[in-house]
Amino acid sequence: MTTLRQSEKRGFKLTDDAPFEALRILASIAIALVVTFIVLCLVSPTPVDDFVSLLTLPMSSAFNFGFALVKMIPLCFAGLATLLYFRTGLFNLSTEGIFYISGVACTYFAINGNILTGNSFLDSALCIAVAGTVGGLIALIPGFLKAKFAADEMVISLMMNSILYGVGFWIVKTFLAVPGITGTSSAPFLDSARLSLIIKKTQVHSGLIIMLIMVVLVYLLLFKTRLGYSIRMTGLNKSFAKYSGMSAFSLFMVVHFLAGFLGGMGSAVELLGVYRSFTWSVSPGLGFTGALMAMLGKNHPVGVMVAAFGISYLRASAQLLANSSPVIDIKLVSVVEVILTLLISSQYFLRKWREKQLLKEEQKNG
Amino acid sequence: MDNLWTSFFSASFIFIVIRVGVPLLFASMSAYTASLAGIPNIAVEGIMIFGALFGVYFSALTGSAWGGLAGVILIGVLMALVLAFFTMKMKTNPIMIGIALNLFAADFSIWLLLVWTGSKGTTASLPSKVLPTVNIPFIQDIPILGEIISGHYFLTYVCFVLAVLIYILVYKTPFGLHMKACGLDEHAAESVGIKVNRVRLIAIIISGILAALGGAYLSMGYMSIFSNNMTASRGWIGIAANAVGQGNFLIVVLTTFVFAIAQGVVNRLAITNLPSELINTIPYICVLLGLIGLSIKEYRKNKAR
Repeated sequence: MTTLRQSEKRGFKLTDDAPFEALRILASIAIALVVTFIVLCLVSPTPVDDFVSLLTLPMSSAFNFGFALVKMIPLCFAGLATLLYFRTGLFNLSTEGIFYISGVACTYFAINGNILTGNSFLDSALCIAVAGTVGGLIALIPGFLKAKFAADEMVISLMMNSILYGVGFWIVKTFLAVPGITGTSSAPFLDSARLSLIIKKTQVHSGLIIMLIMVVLVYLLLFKTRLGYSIRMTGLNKSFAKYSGMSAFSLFMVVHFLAGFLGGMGSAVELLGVYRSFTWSVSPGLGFTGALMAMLGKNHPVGVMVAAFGISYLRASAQLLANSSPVIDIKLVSVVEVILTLLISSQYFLRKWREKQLLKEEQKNG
Repeated sequence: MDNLWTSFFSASFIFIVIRVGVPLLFASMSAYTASLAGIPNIAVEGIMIFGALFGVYFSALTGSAWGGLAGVILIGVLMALVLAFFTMKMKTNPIMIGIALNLFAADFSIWLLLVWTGSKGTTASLPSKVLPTVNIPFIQDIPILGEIISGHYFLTYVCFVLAVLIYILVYKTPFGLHMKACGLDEHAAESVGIKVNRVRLIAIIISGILAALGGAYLSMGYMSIFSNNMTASRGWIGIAANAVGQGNFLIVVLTTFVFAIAQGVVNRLAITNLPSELINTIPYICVLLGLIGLSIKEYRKNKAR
């Protein structure tokens, strides 16, 4: 009885686990924004105006807000792919290369009228499925090397990124490029392959719905299935897989395939939703940002979605402002990204403060 | 084609291998010192980018290449301190910090480029300086040998001197022993009175300076400007070389030069009609094969046990 009454009396405390985590995240955001403001003060003649418009521009019209939503889709896909790796304790960054090569595979189908049916649902689904499968199969290469030989998946995945980009760009240049266009570009995607717009007066395409479905599916996979349980436990303790009845080999293979599939899908959704033809002459950097999203979202699918929205909100705003301001650019958002990532993944950030508060409370209670 | 083949066995080819090998050696030494002390430095690539950019910026600011070099060392130390603070004081996973710092350097360097020059491409409009090329007296007159080892950039010689110093530091001094002890088991090291955090801090600072110098080599010698994405995964090749060497410095250096030879071959093949996109992947394929070979060897060894 007494313990119950005590806990009732305590009520809401910032030092409890959940509110403390929220406080940590809010403090990280505040610090990141303050630093961004300081950086702006150093380079801009009108730092206050710039800062305010950076924070509010996407709210100003439906088009601008839609722009932020569109930018969030590939980040969220890449984040979901990377969180599967991180959850299993794998530091694999191959999503970057997979985004590129799957995009090339998707392009091969999306410009090819002989293969496509003309039905827009079937065609889009086919292109996305092809890109996903290619991504999944390619992810099996580092997956196999890790599962069988315990090879260092991070360096291998990074070397693969460079190789996949080289091979992908060569394929685009040699087989898919259209002569007579400046820069390297494929033939335009067929209309039936492209994703349709779902909100009027914006660029928001049906990829947003696919993304939401994937967030739910990854959530269900992680928290409601045995496979998800194995993934989470193996991430916490490497030897778990051995005792869970599922071999570590097949677990690693499955995780790599799924993550590669998500990456490939994300690439196809981005290309078919936003682009008219394949024009990536450099790797788009979306896969790496996915790693940040996974870290910011604490490796939780919903967290990744929120992080992807937050970052793409700022990125969209910065990109829209880039035309009118000489110092604001999408790359400026990297300041916010790095500070948030470092602080949120620091176990000891604000811990001293929390311990002091707890100590005070103890002393007060005698 | 015959011509091309014989050109691989000439003094000028060895000269090229040294030229392209130096930034890789800086990167692998950087990865080596940090990981030996037990904190893997994954941010080598990012520190190289900042080293390359700030070298150009400070040399333009001070009007002297040596001022630029001082700026490079400063930024290397700063990045190392960030890495050290978050790994040792905040208990963040060093791999996470590394990934975050690399992304930050890649993006933020482009933003700084935009602010300083108004374009996102290169620093061609900044009046930056390059470090001098050194012709060694007497040796430059010896045929073949002079052609190979004389006439390199200043930082090339710095790199080789540092390599010797690191070898001595790691294998011949008590501090090197302490570094290895911290890397093997920090609690054991602490129990015999080694100040683990101080040893690691020094190792990370050395690592940061080495990576930054590798970047400076690229923008203040190899080329005379900073351009977008100029490090081109060299930092990661260094980390891979360190992984192959597994704590043995001589093997790390040797592996680095195998990768450098692959890069040299690429530079030679660039003038042929072969598709450049595919040719450029050769060094990465070599690194990949090296890592795979190493893990298969380890796998067999563990299995035999």
